[in-house]
Amino acid sequence: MRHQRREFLKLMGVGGAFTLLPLDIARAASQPTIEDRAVYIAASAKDNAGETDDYYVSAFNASGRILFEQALPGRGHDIGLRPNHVDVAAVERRPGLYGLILDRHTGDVRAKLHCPEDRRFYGHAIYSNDGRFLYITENDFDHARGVVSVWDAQDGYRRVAEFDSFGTGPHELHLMPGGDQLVIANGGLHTHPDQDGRTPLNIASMEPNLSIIDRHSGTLIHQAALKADWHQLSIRHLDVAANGTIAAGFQYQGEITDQVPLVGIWRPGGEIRPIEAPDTVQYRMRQYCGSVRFDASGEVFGISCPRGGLVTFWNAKSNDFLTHIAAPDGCGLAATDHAGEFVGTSGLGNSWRMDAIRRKRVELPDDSHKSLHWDNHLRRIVA
Amino acid sequence: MSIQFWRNTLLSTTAAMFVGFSAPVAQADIPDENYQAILSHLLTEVVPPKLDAFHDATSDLADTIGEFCRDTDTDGLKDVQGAFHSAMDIWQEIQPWRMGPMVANGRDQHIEYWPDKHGTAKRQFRKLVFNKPAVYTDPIKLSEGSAALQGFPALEEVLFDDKHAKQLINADEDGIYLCQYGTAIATNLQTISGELRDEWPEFAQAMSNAGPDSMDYPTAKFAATDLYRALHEGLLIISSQKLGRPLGESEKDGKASRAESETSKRSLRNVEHNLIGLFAIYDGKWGDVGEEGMGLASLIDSSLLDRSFRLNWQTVQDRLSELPTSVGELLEQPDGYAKLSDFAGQIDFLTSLVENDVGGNTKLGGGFNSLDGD
Amino acid sequence: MKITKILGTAALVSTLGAQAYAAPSAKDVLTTYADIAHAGYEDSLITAKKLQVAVDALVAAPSAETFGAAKSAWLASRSPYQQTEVYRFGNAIVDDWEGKVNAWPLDEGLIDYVETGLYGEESEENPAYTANVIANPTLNISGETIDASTIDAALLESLHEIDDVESNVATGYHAIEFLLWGQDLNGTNAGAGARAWTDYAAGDACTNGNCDRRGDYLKAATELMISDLEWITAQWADGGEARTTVLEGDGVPGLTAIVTGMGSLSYGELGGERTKLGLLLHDPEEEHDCFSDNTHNSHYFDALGIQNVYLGRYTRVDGSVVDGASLSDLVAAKNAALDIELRGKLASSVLAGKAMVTRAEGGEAFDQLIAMGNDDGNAVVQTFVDALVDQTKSIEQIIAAVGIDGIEFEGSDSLDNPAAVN
Repeated sequence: MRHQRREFLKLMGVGGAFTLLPLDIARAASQPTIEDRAVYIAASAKDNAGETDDYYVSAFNASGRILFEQALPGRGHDIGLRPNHVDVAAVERRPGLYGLILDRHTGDVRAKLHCPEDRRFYGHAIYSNDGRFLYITENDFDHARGVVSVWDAQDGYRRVAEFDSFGTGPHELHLMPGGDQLVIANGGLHTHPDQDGRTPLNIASMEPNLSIIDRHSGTLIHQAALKADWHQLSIRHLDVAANGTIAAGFQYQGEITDQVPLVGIWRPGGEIRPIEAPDTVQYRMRQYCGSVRFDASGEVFGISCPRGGLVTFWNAKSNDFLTHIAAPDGCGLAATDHAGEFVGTSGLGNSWRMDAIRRKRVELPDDSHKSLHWDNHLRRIVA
Repeated sequence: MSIQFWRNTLLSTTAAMFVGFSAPVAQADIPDENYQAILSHLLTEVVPPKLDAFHDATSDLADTIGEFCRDTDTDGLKDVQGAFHSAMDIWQEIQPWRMGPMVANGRDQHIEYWPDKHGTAKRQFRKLVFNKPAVYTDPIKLSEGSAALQGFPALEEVLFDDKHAKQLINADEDGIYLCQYGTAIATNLQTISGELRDEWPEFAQAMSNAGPDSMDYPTAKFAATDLYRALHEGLLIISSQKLGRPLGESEKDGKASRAESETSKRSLRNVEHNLIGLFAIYDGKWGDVGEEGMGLASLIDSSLLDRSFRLNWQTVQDRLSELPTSVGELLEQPDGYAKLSDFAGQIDFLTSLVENDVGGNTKLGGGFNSLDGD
Repeated sequence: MKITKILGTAALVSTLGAQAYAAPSAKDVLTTYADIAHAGYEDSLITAKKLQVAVDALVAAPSAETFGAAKSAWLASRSPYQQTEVYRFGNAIVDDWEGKVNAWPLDEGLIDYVETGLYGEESEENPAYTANVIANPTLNISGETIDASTIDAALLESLHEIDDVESNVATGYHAIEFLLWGQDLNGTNAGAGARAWTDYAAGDACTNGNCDRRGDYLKAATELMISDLEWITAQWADGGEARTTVLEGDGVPGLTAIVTGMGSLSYGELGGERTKLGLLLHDPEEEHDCFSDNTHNSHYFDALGIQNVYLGRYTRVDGSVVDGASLSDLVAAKNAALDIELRGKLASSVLAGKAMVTRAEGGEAFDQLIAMGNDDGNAVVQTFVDALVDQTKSIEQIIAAVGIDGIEFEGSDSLDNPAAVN
């Protein structure tokens, strides 16, 4: 039976030893390099002598050097990137009221989005592949219903449509490969601006799910939820690999000591497959996942756990835990163009290159990025 | 409401020293050596003797029950129950140190599977006693079975449930099986506590040797965060589970059977020992080992704040010492529910002191993303 | 001998070659899928009607013989039903309905007397834990009084999942199973539940009381199950909702349903869900404890059902065969290697399931196989679980291979047509 248990553990990726990736991927991973011309962009904050922090969208290059800082009226969250265009969308985090369209090279404001009075933004936005439409997750708070709004970038960012998100508390959303469908993480938590817009009001009855909708018609195509025992796992963040595999990170609303998975892999049409790290890593994830990001190969994904100060790495092909790298207060994650490699940022001002295959972490050399608290999510732009 | 009450009645200096969530910019950073000193003291000086003591207590428990089973009588059972309490006391002091080898391979759950939301332990125990499978009297096989059947709660059911205690002494068919099964549990606990003791030094070393090359603990400050979290979460667990479960939603919903170790009538004695183990994280002294002021307290440069925190903690411990040893006994008192609820409020107040005073001044309370993310 | 072998190989090669050029249409594949579903549910219905005949005979003339015949009829009815389990995931209409006939696990104290030493007397989660409908003409559940003086289908339906507790299973296969076998009090030793036929005897011969009400319950539960099976069979007949749904549109939803059903049953129901908590507590295997000790067959027929839908071939209880264009044909046309791999893996899991059945028929039932300390038995079950998990990996590749993604993700006319988003 002990043997059997070990087999099970191995099977589920909780075996303890690190699973090595296929050799070709390991070979493809390279030493951290500052030669690439990538630009990283994220929401950020600066201490303001005891007052409320000042908020920005900031960009830095591969060596960590700040390229611009654009002040925001309130705390941002994620950045949407318009393909083949200078626009990026910074949407205020929940309960968000504004969205700013910025020039990715200078930070200049190019357009402003205003959330309707009876809606609030959640902080995540994504463009269609042709760059025409911007999709934003919103809270229809009077009806405890999630929606996805559609804004026409070619028509002065006019709000042209609104779809049901098929759940409460929609958070991160992405395009599926092919670009005609959106996958939405409906976190399940109901919040209301009259009660600060952030305190969950339905923890006992929350029902998170992952939903895929047609981005043209808003029709629901696929939906999956976790089993009833795990309904307090808020499915909040996700990323999509080129082959359509979805990785998701959860935030648990129940007890610290409950044994729950925090990561799931979903291949639409099947069920969400939960995966767990070995106990000594799992408890350090502190029931909370921040960002989810696939690497350049689409085989490895990273999940940051800011409360535990870890970034965990997983093999999407074998559904196994791979390894973890400590990153105090680390949350933002972006993939470089090397397989298994990521750039991570922290609220303490650090930025690192992390190599999930060699288990290495190197701080970016330029100190200018250290003056900022880097917010939850990080995006990479290839200049 | 309770928090408010205690905030007003306890030393007001704490309120004056109040430090907000975001680390104060004006204050200088604490050098990493200071964190390193705490790690080294707590993890390599203070904890190991306690793990030895835990192993000794479980060994004694195994010996005592083995002896009792050779010739069962009432006095013998009392000895075993006494050995159970001693082992449980030290376990409850160690329990809040949830890190490394404590949680590896579900070890803490194997030692004590609790809380048990779905009543699995009861169901499995009933089935076990009904079927009496021989494998569960073999400590090695037992260690491969359900966590709910191999630790303290299962042994408690054997030794303290009235019906089972009678069967043990009568040494009838059930009693003989229960004696063998109880011995196997005690032996299993002895083995697990030995593994814990043996695995600890390597983990302590890794934590103490934090540095930029470590992929686990890049700074001593980061490693020390795990100690701070253990202190913080330990209090949260007392409040939300050890007291919160029996308190339920309201007085009508209150139920002692949802408390920990209620069969051996020691649910509040567990909290007493939890508090001892937790305070060691702050103070650096744990019973007869360690040194006062060498825990997280060494990072707090205000003696006033340190004194007030100690006094507040002592006040809570004193309050607890006035209560009976179990939630069940307390709830039988006319104002028992109010007393329990009030005590939970005091624990919550300690939690807020830990978050604000300890977390703020040690700068271990968390960062921008970990404190307020989406 | 040698010649036959060579001929066989040649035949195989040419078959594969032919398949590579002639992929069936999605519609044909889905028609076979629906045909097999219909045949499977109809077989379930036919065997359930035989069970009803046996139950009526038992209640009319209780004896060891009529009792034994009823138990045999129940076992026979499970074989076709379990082969339809693969339709549950992926077909919402089946999943929504399934709880009425196949819910598990159940708190059997709701229905009849139990051995409280094993079962316990109360549950914090279920107020109806020991309601015992058969012994009590009036029930009091959560402060509500229920008139149970007449035990009929309507009463059972009203009790099913009462108080929103899922383990309050008043109807379906497992309720009937409990009424025929009783609790398995043998633990991990040999033997199933040992209910005596005299639990249905008339007058003084009646054991455990209320034999007439027990008979009423058994008849009502059987009657209800037949009407439920009639309903689902109709959904898969021509024009039925389940059939129409899978045949709808370009075939994508239907093919997705097949793959989802295969993958979810392989992974989730049998092979998967071994989470940390499950490992820690040795759940759910240890709790999965059937009254009739028939779990091995349930698992085996589940695996067989998965193979049926992939190969597009089902052998009915009367021995006739339903077959047609299959998902296997479709996969082979796009990726012959994947088809061969998956066929091999499906065969392995069916074989591993068969090995469990063989052990069980040799006197070592599922709960003994998984018992602690039975390393040999554990290994037999582990082989089966491994085979299922292994086949899941290949099943997941079907989506990419047959281009379900391709169809779904292909650009449409509405792309960037602003009218479409208004």
